Parts: sequence; C-alpha cells; structure tokens
Amino acid sequence: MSWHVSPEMATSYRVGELAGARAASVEAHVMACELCRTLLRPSDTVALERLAMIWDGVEDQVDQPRITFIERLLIFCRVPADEARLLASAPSLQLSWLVALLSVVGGTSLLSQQADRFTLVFVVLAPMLQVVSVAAAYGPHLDPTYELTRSTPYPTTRLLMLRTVAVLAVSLLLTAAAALTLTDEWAAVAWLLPSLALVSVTLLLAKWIDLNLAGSVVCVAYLFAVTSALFNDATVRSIFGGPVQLAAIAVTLVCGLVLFGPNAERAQIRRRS
Amino acid sequence: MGTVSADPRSDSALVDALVEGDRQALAELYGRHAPWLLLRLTRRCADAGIVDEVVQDTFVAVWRSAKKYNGQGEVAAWIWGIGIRRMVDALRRRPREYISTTVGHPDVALSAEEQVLLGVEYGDLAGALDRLSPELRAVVQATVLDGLTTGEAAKLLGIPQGTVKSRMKRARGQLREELA
Repeated sequence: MSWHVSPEMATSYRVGELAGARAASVEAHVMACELCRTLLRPSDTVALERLAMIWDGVEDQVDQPRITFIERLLIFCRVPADEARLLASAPSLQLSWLVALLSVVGGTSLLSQQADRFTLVFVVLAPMLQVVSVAAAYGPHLDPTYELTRSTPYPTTRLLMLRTVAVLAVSLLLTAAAALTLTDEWAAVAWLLPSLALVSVTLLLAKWIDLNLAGSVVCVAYLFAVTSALFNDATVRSIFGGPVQLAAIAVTLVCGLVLFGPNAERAQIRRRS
Repeated sequence: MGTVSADPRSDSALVDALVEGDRQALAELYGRHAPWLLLRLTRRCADAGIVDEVVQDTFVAVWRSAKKYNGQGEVAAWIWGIGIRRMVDALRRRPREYISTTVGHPDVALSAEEQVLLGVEYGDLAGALDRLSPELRAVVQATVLDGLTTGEAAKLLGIPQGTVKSRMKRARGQLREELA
C-alpha cells in the first residue's frame, strides 16, 4: 500500500479533530497496517494510565470463573446472581449430570417402544432418579463447593431447599418430557407421585442423617420393595396402582407437614463434620 | 505496554497462543490493539466510562473466544468486529448518541496539497461522503465503515431495520450520482 497515515494525521485523529472521510480512511487503513497502528499508540501518561487501568480490569475478569449456562439461565429467570452461583454449583445441576439423567430416562423411554418391560423399568427408575438428584444436590461427597458453602454465612436449610427446588424442577421436567413418549398413559404419570413421596422422605431423613446417606437409604429401601414385587410378573399397573398412589400422596403430605408445618422445628439439616 | 515490544510473534500466532491459555500473548495483543480500539470507539461514543468498559469486555471476549478466530483476515478486523458489537450492546443498555465520525467538524481548511492527495486517493468520494445528510452518513458509517449488519445498525441508531435499508439505498443513490 502506497498510502500511509502521516504523523500529523495520526495526531489530529488521536485528539478527535480529524473528521469526515479522512478519519474513516485512517480507521480503514490501520486495520491492515501494523506500522500505522503504532502511530496511534498514546505517549501521554494520562492515556497510558487509562489503558493500564482497563488492562487490570481485563486480567481481573479473565481470572474469574466463567458463568455457566445454568447460572445464566437462573439469572435470566431473575434469580439474584449470588444465589444463582450457589444453585448452579449443585452437583446435580451440572451439565454432565443432566446429560446422564437425560440419557437414562431418554434411553429407557426409547427402549419401551421396543419392549413393554422397559416401560416398567422406566417407571421404577424415575422416582429413584429424582431422589439421587436431590441427594446429590448438597453434601460433602459430591459437592465441590461443600467446604465453601459451609463457611458461607447462609442458612444451610434454605440453601438445601433452594437447591432441591431447582434440581427437582429440572429433573422432573426432563423425566416428564421422556415420560410423554411412553405409549402406556398410566405409566406416563404413575412415576410422579412416588417420586415426590421418596424425595420428601429423603428430605425428612436428612434432618437426622447426612443428605447423601439419606438418599442412599431411601433408594435401597425402595429398590428392595420394588424388586420383591417385580418377581411376581408385575406390570406398571399392579405395582404403581391406585393404593400406591394414594399412599404416596399421604407420605408426601405427612413429610411436608413435619418439614414445613407450623410445628416444624427449626432444626438445621445435619451436616457431617 | 505502550512501548514497542520485542515479541516477534505475529498477531495470528498470538491468537493461537491464547487458545493454549498464554496470558502473555493476551498482554501483547492488548498492547498492540487496545490503543487504536480505544480511539476508534471514543469517536463512536463520548462517554469514556462506556468506552473503557467496552474495551475491557472486548479483550475478555478475545481471550475467551480465541478458538473462534478462523485465521483468515486481519486480527485487528476481528477485534474490531467484537468491539463494535459490544458497543452496540452497551449502548442498547444505556441508550446514548452514537456519534458518526463524519458528522460534526467538516474539514474547512484543507490545504491544496491535501485536496490533491485525497483526490488522487479517493476521487471525489471523500467530498461526496461528507455531503451526505447526517442521517444518511450515520447509516453508511455503521454498515459500510463499521461493518455492522442492518439489524445491528438499526439497534445502534435506534431506528427500524427498514429505515436503515431505505437510508442506505438513498445514500447509495446519492453517492452514485455525485461520483458519476
């Protein structure tokens, strides 16, 4: 290129006095000309200090952890930024976890199109998945921010409940979406009430024992109960029939009352130290 | 920073190094490109606070999206593309005047020598551009010179997309007429 920015032109561009097409030519030219770009470097201390200050800001931001997709989603739903971070760091809200959950419910619901047995597998697995999601939302074993949240002046119970709600909202939605593809209409909804019952029992147990442990206890007990029924050539309707659904409602209500009712003691969720 | 540095790497090599997490490369790129970016953005927005913020956001974005640089075209142009789009976003959050560089101070006292030089370089394009009405010039600047899409220009100027298109058409017609 034969044309270059003259030092005079650069100076008047720098102070904002160059106008019209000439300013536009300077701008277009420095895009491609390294030499002329150096003419636009500031020499006065004020401008240098300003650049240094902006650079500090850049370094600061680069050092900060990136806002995850989930966190952005929560902030979009008007959750305050600090709570969004607390929520999003729940292990069961990590993308890897959601992918795992989706592949289990998606996989079994897809397989159920091939064989009816998988419809049963889906309905049996679904409530357990909710328990596992909730149990993994908080606790020393899975939560990478556990130490951090423990030392944060923030009510543990409130954090647990917040995370439970967030986790359940996501995992119930994913499961429901997969359930909608089931051909058996009863099976498509039969898992929901047992899920709520198991989750509320888990939360209730967490008042006395560690949440992760509570989740495991509930899952094992549930599996034990279901497996014995499975051996009797069961169908979805025979295992998750009307009485079981009613019992699930009762369990959920009782646990809910104990946890949140007027007489609910303000017990902290027990933490393992 | 500010002083001419001795890093021999080319701009695109530096961007490649960003992908590997080379913080020194980011500092070098900042030293090379932040000065002109700051100046050019200052000519688009008079609020120094917003400009500072946009420059900062731009280099954070450069660091994070270095992978997206396809190695084609000037790194400077890539950085400008990020910067002006951040500017569009920033001005949308806090609506303010987008200053068209071609509006305002017409060059009254061009020396004869400069007239000739510019004439050789651009034909009468420079004069034709300066004779456009402020609204038309703003649209030409946003789309042609700043490289924004019609939608982005509309956001920046606070006018509907259709208006951007029709003004662009009028500007093109006028320029063609004057240069013919």
